[in-house]
Amino acid sequence: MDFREEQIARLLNSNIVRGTASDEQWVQLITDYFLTAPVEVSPLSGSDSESDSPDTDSSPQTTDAEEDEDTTEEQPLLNDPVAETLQSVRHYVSEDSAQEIERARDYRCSCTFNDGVPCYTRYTPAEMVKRRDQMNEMTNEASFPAVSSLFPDVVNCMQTDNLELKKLVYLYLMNYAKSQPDMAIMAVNSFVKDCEDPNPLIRALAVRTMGCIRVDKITEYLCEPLRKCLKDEDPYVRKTAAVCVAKLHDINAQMVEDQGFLDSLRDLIADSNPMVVANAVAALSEISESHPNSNLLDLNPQNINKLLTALNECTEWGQIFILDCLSNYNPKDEREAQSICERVTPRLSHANSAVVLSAVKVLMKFLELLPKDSDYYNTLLKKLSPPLVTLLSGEPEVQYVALRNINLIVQKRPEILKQEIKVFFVKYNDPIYVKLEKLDIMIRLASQANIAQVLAELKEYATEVDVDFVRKAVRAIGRCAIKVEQSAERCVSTLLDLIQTKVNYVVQEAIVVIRDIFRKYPNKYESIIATLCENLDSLDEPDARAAMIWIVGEYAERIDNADELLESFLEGFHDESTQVQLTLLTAIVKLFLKKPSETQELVQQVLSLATQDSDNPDLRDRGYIYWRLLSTDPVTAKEVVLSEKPLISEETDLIEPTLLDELICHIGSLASVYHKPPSAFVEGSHGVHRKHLPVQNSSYDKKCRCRPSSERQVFLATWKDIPNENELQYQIKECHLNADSVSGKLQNNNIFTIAKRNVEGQDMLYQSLKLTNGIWILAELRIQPGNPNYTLSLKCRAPEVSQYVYLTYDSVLKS
Amino acid sequence: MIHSLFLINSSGDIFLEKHWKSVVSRSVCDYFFEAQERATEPENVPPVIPTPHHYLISVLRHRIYFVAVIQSEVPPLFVIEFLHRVVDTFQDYFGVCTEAAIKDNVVVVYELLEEMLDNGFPLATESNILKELIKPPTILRTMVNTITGSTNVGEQLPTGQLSVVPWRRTGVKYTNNEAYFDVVEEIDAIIDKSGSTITAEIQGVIDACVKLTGMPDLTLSFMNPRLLDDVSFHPCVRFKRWEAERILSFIPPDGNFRLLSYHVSSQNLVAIPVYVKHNISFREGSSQGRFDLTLGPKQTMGKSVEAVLVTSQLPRGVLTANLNPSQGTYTFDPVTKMLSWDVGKINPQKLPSLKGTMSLQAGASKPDENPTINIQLKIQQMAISGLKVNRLDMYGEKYKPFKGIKYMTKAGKFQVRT
Repeated sequence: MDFREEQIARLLNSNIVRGTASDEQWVQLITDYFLTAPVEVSPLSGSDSESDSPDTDSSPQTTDAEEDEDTTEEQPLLNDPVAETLQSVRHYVSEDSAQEIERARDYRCSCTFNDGVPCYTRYTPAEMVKRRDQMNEMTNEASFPAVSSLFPDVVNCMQTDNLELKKLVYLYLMNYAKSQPDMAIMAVNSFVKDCEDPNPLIRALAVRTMGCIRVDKITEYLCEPLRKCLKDEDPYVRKTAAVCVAKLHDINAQMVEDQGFLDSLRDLIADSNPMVVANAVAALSEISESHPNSNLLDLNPQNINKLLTALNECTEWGQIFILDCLSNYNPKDEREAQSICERVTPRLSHANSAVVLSAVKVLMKFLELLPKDSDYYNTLLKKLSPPLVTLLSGEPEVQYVALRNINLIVQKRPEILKQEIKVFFVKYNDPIYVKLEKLDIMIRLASQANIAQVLAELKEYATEVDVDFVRKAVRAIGRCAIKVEQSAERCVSTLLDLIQTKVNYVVQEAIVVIRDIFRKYPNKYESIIATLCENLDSLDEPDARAAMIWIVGEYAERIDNADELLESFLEGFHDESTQVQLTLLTAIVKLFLKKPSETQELVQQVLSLATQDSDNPDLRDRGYIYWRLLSTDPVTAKEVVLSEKPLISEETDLIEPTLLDELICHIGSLASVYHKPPSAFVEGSHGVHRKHLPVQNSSYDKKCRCRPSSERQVFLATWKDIPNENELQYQIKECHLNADSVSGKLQNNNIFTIAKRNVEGQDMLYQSLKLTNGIWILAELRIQPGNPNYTLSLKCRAPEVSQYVYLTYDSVLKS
Repeated sequence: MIHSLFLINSSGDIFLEKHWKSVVSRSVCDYFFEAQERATEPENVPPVIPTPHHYLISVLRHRIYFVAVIQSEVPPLFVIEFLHRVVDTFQDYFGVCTEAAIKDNVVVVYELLEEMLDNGFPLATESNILKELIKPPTILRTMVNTITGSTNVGEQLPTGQLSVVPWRRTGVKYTNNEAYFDVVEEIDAIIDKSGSTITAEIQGVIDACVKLTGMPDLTLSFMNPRLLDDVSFHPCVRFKRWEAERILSFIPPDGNFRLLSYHVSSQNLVAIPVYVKHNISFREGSSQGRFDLTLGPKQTMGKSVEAVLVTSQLPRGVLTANLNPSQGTYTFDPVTKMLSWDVGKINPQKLPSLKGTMSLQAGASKPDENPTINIQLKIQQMAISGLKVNRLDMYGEKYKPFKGIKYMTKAGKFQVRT
């Protein structure tokens, strides 16, 4: 067994470390091997034993006399680990050197021998290995000095030619420089020297490590070597230096700006080596996350062309960075969009799923710009489907992220995957998070053509073991019924079959969805109510009880014993959840309005329960309202309580179109996994700007045929929700109309005024419009009497359309 | 980008941590442990977990959770792919990727992680390059290192790192030049109760083992390339040539690699190699259930079906199973309720069957769920999609290599519902 392995195993079990090996401990081990090499003595065990130790024979000769002298001298310093180290080192060096070391204790950083080699690397590697082996035998009771106190000694090792040792020292510096910033400065010279080493590997290693040392003083010295490395002849060094700029920006953003490193990074975009380009792009995009000006990389057609060239040749990770960067570009016309798409499409066949998804993002975004009737548009749509399907054959974690994204894609462009519903069928050993996502997508893809298959699957799932999944499957059947009208009957009979299984949670879930089906198709499936009522007693969840009570109340006139049924719920009224109590109250009032003669007593009872015995203000208020309605004006009561309800539709679970468009721009990112815009959850990202799908300019005129929308509260909430920087102001000049005629004129053109108020003599009109592609625009029009110039403030998530809206306003008002 | 990595074993101990930027306290993993507790099965822990200041993205491989901590908006797939690459690298280096292997090689592990990522950006993830930077531990090398004191860290900048073919190192030499290609296809299928196919698709890969001197340029052509309409290539494959001529043209990496993976979708007709006749039933009111299973070959194009293994998760109420296999052996784990029947080869003359009874807990009601039957199998010398390699040619080098191609069909996620 390798000595190191043993050593580590031992350390893992000892009390020295917490039971696991972290970087720190690793370095500790290494430092211990190289630097605290007292084979004969364990450092803290006192030096008396040292002179007596017979083992000293094995070490290079030192005289006993000198040794004794040392011990007495060193006595008070015993706890100083550096001293101990130095002391112990003496065993292996000649007498001359021993004196040298003695001096070195005072000038720790200049501890070198005549030949200029730092003392600890005087040993050949073979010797060191021997030392370590010996040490391994001795270390049973060894305790090591605090690692950070070895700093000066470690720094001395930097100039070794042994690459492994160098790497270790660098690693050590990264970990401990912060704790001893004054000492870390000692390392600067070596770094600067290493940055000019003939071996590019060492140059890169030095600049890479220097960027990881988060000590201000060091950072100052980093600038010059970094500047050199950014222009190094070796691309390996250049690409490492590019990342180093990002590190430096994290430590000291101002300095990076002042030193002009951002410009150097931009220059690297034109580098001949694709890897360097990719890293420069990655560094720039990381910097722009925390940079006030998020548009660090000027995406002009020349740069885009360079990126596309690099895309073909760089590594998979580089491709991801470049694709993500490309997706921020807005091509100026459809021809440019198409040519970019053509060059991105081969990435869809990449083995790395992250590359594939980033490519999908670029294509989904640029599809917006392509004319829908072009051949290329349709070819591209066809090309998108196979890679998405292939993502689903990956590991479950990949599948999960892919499915969350596919969920967005099928909402935006259902045509891409409409043929592929079968790949979303659930395998019984899929992890639960994959199952639930697949189910969701199955419903989104359900259509008249495939509904039979989907229903058969859903029914199968409803007999699975996992309760959450079964519930969702049952709910899915209900959603299918609501979505695909032709299948409603089939869905209902499937649900009835499931109710027959008498599995408790299946029955309850089925009843909840049947209520929704009744809401969607009133007066169609009432014949099944009898079956539902059979299961009344088994319902113990509030949702299911409320659903059942609602059904009984709604169809009270067709259920003979409705009063008995509802009465049975009334017994434990106070133990029910609020939801059930409210529904029960409403249901009994409905029943009373339908069958007033037999249920007077029941309604009295429930009203008094709700108003007198309840602490819940909602319930009490509703009770009082009903009570007064019933006692004063039964006709109105009927109108209110038994009014016709709006039908529900499947749209309820779709993502709002503006948000969907924004999320499409973020395919492959965390935002797409959470289905939330990044601004909603990414911390400290003041630089995050909302992204928008590009819009085809030519079609604005058509799109302004908008529908009236929004009520006051919605308007207010939306207005607040849109960031202020999206607000644009325009002047409409020379318009001689008053507020009312303005609003009338706009209304004739389908722009509706939601609110109007008068502030300090100015008329303010609040209007909203929605473009046919789902973009909302909120407008505030300020009209000062006597002033022919109006001020128009437009707020919209896609500020680039505001200009066109302004033009429309202008032309409407002046027509 | 990626901030930190924690490795967590199945008993919930963090046994390794690595930070590429500032140190993130390991208490961040508490959120992961919470999620782990909520999940019923180890594999059900969600891959992306939000915490107040970080995001945890995890993969579960070889019963070890690899948990990456990220702080800003990073493509989750990027992180997941990277973690998989870490796992693959460990496996490549240590033979297995287990907690013990990682702990044994902790120094190499840290050296590798340091090389693979710089400040959260992937640096060197190609196994060829890594192996030049850090030589994999072998018994021989360990001994040599101990004696000579040399290290396992490469001193030179890997040659492939920046060349146009980063996947291949220069100066490769072999005495025997050989190139082997394995066409392996896996059938994923769901068969319903009545035996009809609900979905069936084929996931295929071509794995290669190429040991050729110098810089060989290979082309591989197929008899029926039309089958391959959904493919993912190794970066070495020249995409344009494929688009234009349907020929794979590439300079191969040295050693083992996956040249291509492809997917034959459910819209094509997929041959199902076996059929299953089953009768698993419980009677109401009785504590006994019947179990009856027979396997038979279906569309195998005359090849024999081997290494058949049938597994099924029986309902929770089942206490014991008393079954009688006509061939092979079966086991039933009363704790996990997993029945597994190692059938071996299917003899078309004498079909294998497994018959007998299952006993339920006394007084337990009839189980609601229907067990699903999972089948694994192998068919040698056949790719079930019908894919056939036409020829392999080599340019750029003078010697004559030895070429070999092998076909195999396996069952992937092959499930029969009952």
